[in-house]
Amino acid sequence: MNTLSNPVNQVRPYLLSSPALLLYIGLFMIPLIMTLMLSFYSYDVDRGGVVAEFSFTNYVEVLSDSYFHGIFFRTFALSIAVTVLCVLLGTPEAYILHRMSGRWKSICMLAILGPLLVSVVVRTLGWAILFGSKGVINESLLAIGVIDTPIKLMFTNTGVIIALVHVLVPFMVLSVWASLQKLDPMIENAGLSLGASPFIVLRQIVVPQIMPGILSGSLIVFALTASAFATPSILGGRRLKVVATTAYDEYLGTLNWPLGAAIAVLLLVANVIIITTYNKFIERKYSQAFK
Amino acid sequence: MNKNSPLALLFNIVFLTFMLAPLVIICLVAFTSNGYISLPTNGFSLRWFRAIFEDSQFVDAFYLSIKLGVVSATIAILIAVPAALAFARYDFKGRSVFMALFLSPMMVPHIVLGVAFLSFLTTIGWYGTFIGIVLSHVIIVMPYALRLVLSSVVGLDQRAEKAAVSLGASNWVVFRHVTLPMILPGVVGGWVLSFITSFDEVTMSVFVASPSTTTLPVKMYAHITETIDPLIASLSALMIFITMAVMFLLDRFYGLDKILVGKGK
Amino acid sequence: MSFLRLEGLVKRFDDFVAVEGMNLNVEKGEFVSLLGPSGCGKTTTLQMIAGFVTPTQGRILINNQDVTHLKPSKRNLGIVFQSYALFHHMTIFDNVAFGLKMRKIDKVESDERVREILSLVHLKDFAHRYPRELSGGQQQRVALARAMVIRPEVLLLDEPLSALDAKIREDMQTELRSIQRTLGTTTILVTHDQSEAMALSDRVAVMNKARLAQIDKPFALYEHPRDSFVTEFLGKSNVFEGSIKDANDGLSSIDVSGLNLLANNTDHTIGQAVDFSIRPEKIRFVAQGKGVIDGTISSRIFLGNQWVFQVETSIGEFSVVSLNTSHIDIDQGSVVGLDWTPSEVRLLTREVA
Repeated sequence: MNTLSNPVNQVRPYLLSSPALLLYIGLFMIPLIMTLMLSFYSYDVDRGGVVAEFSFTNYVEVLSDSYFHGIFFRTFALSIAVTVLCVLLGTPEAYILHRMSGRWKSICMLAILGPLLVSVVVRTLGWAILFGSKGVINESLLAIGVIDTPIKLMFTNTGVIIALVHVLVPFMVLSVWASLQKLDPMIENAGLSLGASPFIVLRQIVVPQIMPGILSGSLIVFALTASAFATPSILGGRRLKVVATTAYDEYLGTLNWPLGAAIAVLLLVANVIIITTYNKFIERKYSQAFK
Repeated sequence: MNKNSPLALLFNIVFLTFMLAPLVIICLVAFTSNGYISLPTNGFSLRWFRAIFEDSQFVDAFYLSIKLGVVSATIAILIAVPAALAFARYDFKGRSVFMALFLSPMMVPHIVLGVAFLSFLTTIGWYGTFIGIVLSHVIIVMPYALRLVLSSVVGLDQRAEKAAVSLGASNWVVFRHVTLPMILPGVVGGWVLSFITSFDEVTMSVFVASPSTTTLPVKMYAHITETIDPLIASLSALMIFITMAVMFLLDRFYGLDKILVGKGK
Repeated sequence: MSFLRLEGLVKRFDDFVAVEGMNLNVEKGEFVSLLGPSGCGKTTTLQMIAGFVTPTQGRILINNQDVTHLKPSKRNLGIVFQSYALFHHMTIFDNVAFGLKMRKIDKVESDERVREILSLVHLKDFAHRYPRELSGGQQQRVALARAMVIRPEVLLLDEPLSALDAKIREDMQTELRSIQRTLGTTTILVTHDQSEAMALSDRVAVMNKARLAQIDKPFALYEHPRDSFVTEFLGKSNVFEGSIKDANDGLSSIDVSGLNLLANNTDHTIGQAVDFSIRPEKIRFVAQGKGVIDGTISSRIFLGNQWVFQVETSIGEFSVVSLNTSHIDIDQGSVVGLDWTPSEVRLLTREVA
């Protein structure tokens, strides 16, 4: 760090970060504040749309209407399901990748991380094609005789969950993989030499040490599922609404911007609360053993 | 050397199949000669690839997305580099608040940003303008740009800069000839990740895109909600092929893991 | 029968030979070092003993039991890793107790043994800290305690001191040696540091290019190295190529670049090509013309306890070391005589390239 006594050094950091600061105030904070204000306005077709009068109408509507309860609950349940599946699939995969070496490792990494660079819309389309009643999954299941009638995956929770796991599991693999990289390569040998079986080494030595990676990966997956839009919209259709698609419909369908804004604000608040409490929990639990 | 058990390798194969299946199916369906979604059982045909280029809406959206990605990634990098230097070099009042603020768009759901930008751009009359959609994308990609640039600045050996200053170089010369070449990997990585993030973004763009500023993912999303036809499959396949080519080049010259690690967390 | 025996141990990775024909006998309670440059096969040898690497050929016997194909977890060996490999999510106490827990030793006895070993390594008061909160030297002692508390048949040390500062390293060497003596555990140390190997071990096994080059007590090894590799790995030496010209009564005359030099010799015959080797500290300065050879001082360096001179002679450059016991009045450029007794010279069979 440079000395703070030098007056140039007191001004320079502000100068250097001022373009970013201006951008964030003008294009990030102001729009968010506007949205917050908008959420307290009301919508009345007879009075020409948005009415700039402060009221809690939208929040009362969202928080008291069982229709919205259902949507928030579905979003939450979806996020939990996707997160759990990502942990169960992504953690072992990261561990397997970690134990591979050379060419195969790079190929597998590419196959898992590459899809991150492909638009969510494209990846979701792939699942839509697979899920169709004449899709590959149904055709092959029918052909080998596992099922008699096509199973419904399109416009079901199962379908949305499968596709979201596909979209988000790379984040889990990356997060766990990063914490495996920090693991001492000899740690497993140390456990074995002390008489532990490979399973005990995995459960009592490896998993506890990569727990921070699993937890931070879960947080990313949870937050991204809770606000996912394109995948639930395409695969869930009109019936399986989540918070993001509901806000979208309020904005661009019914044009009730204040109500849409209120839904968005609630999503943001829920997100921030969950992320910060979760981070606090992780910090308290691991501050002593891990930095 | 492979330390994985057969069971682990089986798991790996199933996992990879799961990851690749939707992409592979798109690439197969794209070559169908039929007028509906089907596997190319009666031979491969390029008719649906030709169809993409005959559809001016898709072609326009593609160019718009490219332009948007280039401009917003460039602006983001130009703003991120000085900010990263400030964070890495100076301990100033408000440093941690600034940092949290600059990284916070990652925490905000894109749907919320979309809602916010729609109201904002409409209010100031920039809805439907290129500049409006560019600025919204700059906010979205900034955290990625900042993080990758920051990681390269933090790892920088400041002695080289001090040596240059002692040899009489001006601040600008030091930055141009010493600092910038050393942080270039982070800058390039940040730009690429920003471009890709912008190019792929759909959730926020759905709100801010007007009929005259429709990005490719938004156009594709709108198309898919209407109908799933071989045209959209061939377009998606084309995007997968382009991504693969870019990935291959990046990996060759840069190391893909360096960029992708910036995407997680 | 020796306590630990390696019989014709070979390890190949694809077409790379890591260890070739390794034979080693270690007695019970003995401290043996495997010393060599990186890539010489010492670590692979250690990993084969530990069971992390399966030998391509050969056998490993511990206490007359063939353990070649026994799982690492069943070998009852204590290992201290270069990185210590401590369990960062466990306290020091739990780290040390882990091996006992795996052996299902009852809590009372286990606690007692952990406390005992922790006080032996002077970490009694740190039992409830986490590894990250300890210094490098302390972590090292935790690793040692964790390996020793299970009362291993053999203790394996993989470059255990290389991550420590020079000063702490010396203290740890002393401590390691005294703990090993106290507990009487058969110990194998892998290191590339010859002074560490010599300071700690009963015997040192020097390895080179996947093979065992020579094994002996430290002093014997230093004084009677078998070839120039061992000579130079254990310390500096002045080595010149020559050939045996004449031999009688155990004293030979060697032709080095046209000069006749004398050396004790029993193994080499007339005409044989040899390396003529004399260590820097065995050479004395005498007046010009009074020694074996004359030379000009080309440089001198003062290292506190000793002086190091480079002396240019007709057969090449000599390095000479003199202890800083009295004021030495030899400046750069002065012409001096170098003298030594023929019994200090070592003749080494030249490696056929």
